[in-house]
Amino acid sequence: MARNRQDPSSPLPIGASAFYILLALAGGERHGASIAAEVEETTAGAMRMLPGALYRYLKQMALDGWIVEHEAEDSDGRRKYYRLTPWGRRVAQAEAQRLNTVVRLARSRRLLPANA
Amino acid sequence: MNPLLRTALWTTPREFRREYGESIRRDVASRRLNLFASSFDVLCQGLAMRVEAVVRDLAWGGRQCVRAPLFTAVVIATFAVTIGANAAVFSVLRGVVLAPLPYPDSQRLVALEMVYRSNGSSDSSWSLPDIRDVDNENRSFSGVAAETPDSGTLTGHGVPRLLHGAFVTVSFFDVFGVHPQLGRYFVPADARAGAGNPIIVSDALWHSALGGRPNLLGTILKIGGIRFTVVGVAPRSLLNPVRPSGDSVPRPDYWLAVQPNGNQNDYSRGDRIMRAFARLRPRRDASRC
Repeated sequence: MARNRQDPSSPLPIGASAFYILLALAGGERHGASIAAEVEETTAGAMRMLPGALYRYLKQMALDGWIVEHEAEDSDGRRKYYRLTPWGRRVAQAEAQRLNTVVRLARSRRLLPANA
Repeated sequence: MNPLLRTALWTTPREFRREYGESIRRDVASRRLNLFASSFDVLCQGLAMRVEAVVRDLAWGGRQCVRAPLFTAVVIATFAVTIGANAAVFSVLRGVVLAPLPYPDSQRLVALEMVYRSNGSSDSSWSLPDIRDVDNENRSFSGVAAETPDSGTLTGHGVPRLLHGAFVTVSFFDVFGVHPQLGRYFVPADARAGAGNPIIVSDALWHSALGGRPNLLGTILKIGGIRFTVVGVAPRSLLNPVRPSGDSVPRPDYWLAVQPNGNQNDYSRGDRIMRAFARLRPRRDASRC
């Protein structure tokens, strides 16, 4: 479905899994297994992405223009690599900003310590 | 590829399978993932994608309908007409072919046809002696019945009126398995000379010309100048069998008894004016009689 490309906050909230995938790709391009490993590591094993869900997310993100995929050769042969697009980066930033606002609100309501 | 994973992949849309099937296989192997969990995940995602596609198509269709109301009206009208036509055809089909006749064990009722061995032609008109022979010599039927139309003018009950009736063998009502709502049906004695011309009347005649009065039995009816004594009233459900030509005869107003074993002088083998029916014995197949 056509989304508003002018406003990166239009797809928000994007959901935890999608956001962790964008975070994993924020550091540079990765292949699928590497994204899953990064997500698992950054969440200390709390979020485990099985391949069906992972590639479904990646396909949808590519369709929405958040990421691009290309094939490249590595030690294991040819595989697909994924990279954030400038638009995908803006969406990730908007989601981070949204979460930041939420965290600040939680602090103001004393759900979180002030200087955590 | 592992058959479990390959089967799970088949639930995903073809495009997804082509694009990511190899990556999924490779990831399951390289990440040392649990095969069952991974396959189940792929299966769930595949089904979700299918459902998503259907919902997307329906939403698209709905939007198109809203955008083109005239087209939508034509589509709905087309559906309405075709569904209506289907329902009409099916109701005829059900009435004529599918619905059982309103008689007990109606699947065991058969109409009898004579097939000539010489040329293979068939005839559904029977004479009373032929029916008597079939009744005596078959081993497949628990009963054989026959009827032929009759008519006459009823007088003495208000305005004279033309009635349609039928001559039937005394076995007729037994073969169809129906019970009188009043009085009795025919017994063999009814067909003998001097039995007092018993008559069975229809529910419709009882409630029209005869006024529906409960003390009907024993009433004398004069039809065509002959006096008959009412001995019973047939149930409303008794239908009229269709004639061989396919023309349906008006529902009979009355039934009179003929007896295959008696009155033989009145009916020769050449008088093939009757339509014959029979009830198959249990565990008999109509094709093997």
